[in-house]
Amino acid sequence: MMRLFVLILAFMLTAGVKADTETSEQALKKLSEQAQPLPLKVIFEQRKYLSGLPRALVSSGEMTITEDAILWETQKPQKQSLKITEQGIFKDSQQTSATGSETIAELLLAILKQDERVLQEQFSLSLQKNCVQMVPNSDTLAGVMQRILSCGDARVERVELHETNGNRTEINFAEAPQ
Amino acid sequence: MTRVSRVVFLLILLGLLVAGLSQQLPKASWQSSLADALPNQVSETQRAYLESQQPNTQQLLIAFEQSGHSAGELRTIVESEVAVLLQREPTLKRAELTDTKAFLSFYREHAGRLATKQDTERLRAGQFNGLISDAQSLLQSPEPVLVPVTQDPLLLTQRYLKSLPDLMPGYKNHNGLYSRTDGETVQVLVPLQIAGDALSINQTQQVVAQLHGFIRAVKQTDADISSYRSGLIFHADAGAKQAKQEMTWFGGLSLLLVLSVLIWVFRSPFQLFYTLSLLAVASAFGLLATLFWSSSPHVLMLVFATSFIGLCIDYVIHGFIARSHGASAWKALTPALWLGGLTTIAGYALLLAVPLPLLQQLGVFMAAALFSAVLLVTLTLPWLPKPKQPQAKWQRFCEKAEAGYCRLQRQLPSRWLTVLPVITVVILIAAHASNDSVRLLASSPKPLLEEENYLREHTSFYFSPEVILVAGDTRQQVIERTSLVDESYHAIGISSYYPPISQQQDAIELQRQLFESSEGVAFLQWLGISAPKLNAVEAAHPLEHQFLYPFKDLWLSVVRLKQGQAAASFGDKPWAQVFDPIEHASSALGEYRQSMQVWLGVLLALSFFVLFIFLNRGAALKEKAKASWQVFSVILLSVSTALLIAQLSQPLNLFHWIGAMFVLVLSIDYGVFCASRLQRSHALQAIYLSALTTLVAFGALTFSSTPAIAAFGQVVMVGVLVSVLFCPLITAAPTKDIKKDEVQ
Repeated sequence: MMRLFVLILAFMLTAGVKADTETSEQALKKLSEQAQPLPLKVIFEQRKYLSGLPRALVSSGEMTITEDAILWETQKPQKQSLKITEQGIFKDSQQTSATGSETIAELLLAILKQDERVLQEQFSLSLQKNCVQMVPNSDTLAGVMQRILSCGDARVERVELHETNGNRTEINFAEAPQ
Repeated sequence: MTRVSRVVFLLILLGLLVAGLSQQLPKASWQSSLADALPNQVSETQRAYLESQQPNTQQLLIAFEQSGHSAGELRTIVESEVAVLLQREPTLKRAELTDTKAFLSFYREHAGRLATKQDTERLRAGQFNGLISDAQSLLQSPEPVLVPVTQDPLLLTQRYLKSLPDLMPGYKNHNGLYSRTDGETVQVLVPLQIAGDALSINQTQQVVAQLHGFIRAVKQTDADISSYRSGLIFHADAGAKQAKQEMTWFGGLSLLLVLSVLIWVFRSPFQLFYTLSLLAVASAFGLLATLFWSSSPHVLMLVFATSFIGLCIDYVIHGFIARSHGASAWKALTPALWLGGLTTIAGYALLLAVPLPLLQQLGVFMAAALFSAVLLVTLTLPWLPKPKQPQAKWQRFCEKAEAGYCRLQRQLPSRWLTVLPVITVVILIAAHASNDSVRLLASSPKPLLEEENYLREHTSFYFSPEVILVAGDTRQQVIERTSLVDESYHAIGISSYYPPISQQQDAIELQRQLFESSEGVAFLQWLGISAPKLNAVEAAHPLEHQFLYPFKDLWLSVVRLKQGQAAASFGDKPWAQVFDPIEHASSALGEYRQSMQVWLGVLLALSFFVLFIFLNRGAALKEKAKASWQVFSVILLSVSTALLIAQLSQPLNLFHWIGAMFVLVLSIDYGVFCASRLQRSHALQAIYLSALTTLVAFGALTFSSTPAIAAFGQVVMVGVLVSVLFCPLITAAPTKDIKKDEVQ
């Protein structure tokens, strides 16, 4: 009887591990399906839902993604240009970035570029319908970000950033007119 | 005294000793830190800082480097091995250098109150549009908003947070592991903390063994991985292993040799037993006197007091040899024994005039221990049965030596014994060089020092040992004062992370003015919120334990400087001072060295006058002066030659002078015994034996890899050798009675 119980338990554990691996593999497959060749130019609309604010803060503009940088150009409500590289987030023509911005820059770069290596290293990946859910592995990142969703079938259509303080950012992408 | 009364006397003496020690020892609080050994002029603030830096809980750092791989690969390997290490060694834990959660939580709670100096100035200058525009920029960027916008609509605290100094610049934190990629090379740092007592040798060895196992396990995964260690625990472990090895080889071998020589010469283990018992009792008297003098003795005092062993053995050997040669030899010895002993005791008593507690304690210990040793030797040795004469071969060797020296004395010009020490002293003074840096005393293995230096050069998070200390009556006052200091020196203090209340209040008031302006009202309307109502509050910052320390009724704030950054002095801020513990310890060692030099000079001069008054009482004045001068010359020659030779290898430091102190007191003894009315061959039997044991025991220290110990050993070895070679050239006093007694 005891032997049978141990066997069932072992089977259940193996099945659990197998299911996790499959989820991660499926998520990775989804990410590679969403990935598009670089350089890539898209238009975006960002909706920021901040705790305590009665409505979302909406901004929109154009984004150019290359191998080592993202040019984030907001057109509305206020014109602004941001350059996101592994070294940090640089506003307009500034040469220096703020302390600690390189971590969030690397993360944004990896999500928007669909950098599988970095994403797999930093997050636990799983699949939710047509979205890849990314939960941070490190305490540092988990202190800021609860989870990130990358949604879309043949390309990234929407990215959702769910912060630990209840804030949420939705970024919708559309192909830029040729 | 009858046998019974002697036993009763000894029992009373021992009883008093045991009672005294059992009463005083529990009250004693032994000091071991360098701060306690420093001179009295260490300020309260400096003492508080040194005490706050005691390495009972220590941090250590291990770094791994690899080329051609991603930081993630190396980090994964290191992370899994760290988990194994922390499970195996519960006293180790990850060092909480930057606890992100606590950090963020603090700034979220204080959002709106904390603003950078630049933003405060912009508010003051009325640059409202610029500030609002910056907030809007941040809100429309993909960057997360870390602070509650209802409390901080301008996101001033988020900008303040981003401007904070980074304790690990260039590194990314991954659950307590820090990684950096520099071209092809990836580096992963493992900062750890020892929760137990890092000063416990057993625990240190156990922890270091586990750490080395962890390093091996990581390196085994790939031959390309290199490792680097940094932390006091590695140096402490290397030091302990080195000391253990040296103790085993040098200590064990020299002890074996000394015991063999003593047993061979005396042919009696009883004499050895008597010597050891006397040593123990006299040392106990010394300790008791020290405890009466000071309830907080320093352990370093006991280290310096080891020289007592050589002196005590010297007295006992003289006593046994004199007793074995009959009553007259004993009678001739007693005044010499007292004269040698009292001169040395007077010398040590002089240490009480030196304003350094450690040397005062040493003076009390040595004076009391020596007095009881001389007293017990002169009192108890006659009660013992007459010991066997020393080994015949030993006696013949000493007689031949005596004859050889007599021939030499006839051949040498009479003034040479004056000329020789004068020449060495002149050369010593002319070539004198000293270096009191505590860094010279380091004895860590070269690879460990290279690893430590590599990490200092290739990472930029090491602070300079030099710090700025700020004192204040209250916590707020000390933070206010710190903010005045750290901004002028680009240094890192508590106010770099948490502005004082006055600045918070300022930022809140200026923001209120902005929110009341038309631009501010429009901005708040765009957000859909009303103006926040805030007050400045006093709070404890998560990094506070690294910068703020309460002491007595005051507060101490430590402002840390980056490597290579030097602070100026603060003439206009009496509550701030620059402090470098290493420089301070070095100057303390220098002060000790100078005190020792003065003490040696005074003792030398005093010894001449004491010898002139008491040596060979009843002899003609000219004879007394000649004998005293010769003894003085031999002492001077021994001390100066030892220091001169030591100076050839390294500049002189405190430990050379402690060795010189030992040479001086032993030379006084040898000189007094040679110049007294003892038969020269008898005196030589004891002097040679005492010198031989001293040379073997202390000379072995010359080979120590700890520079301080080697310096001490070298001076003692050379000094005692010179002393024992030149003492027999002192003109002997007449000794008719002893010869007659020995023939009978």
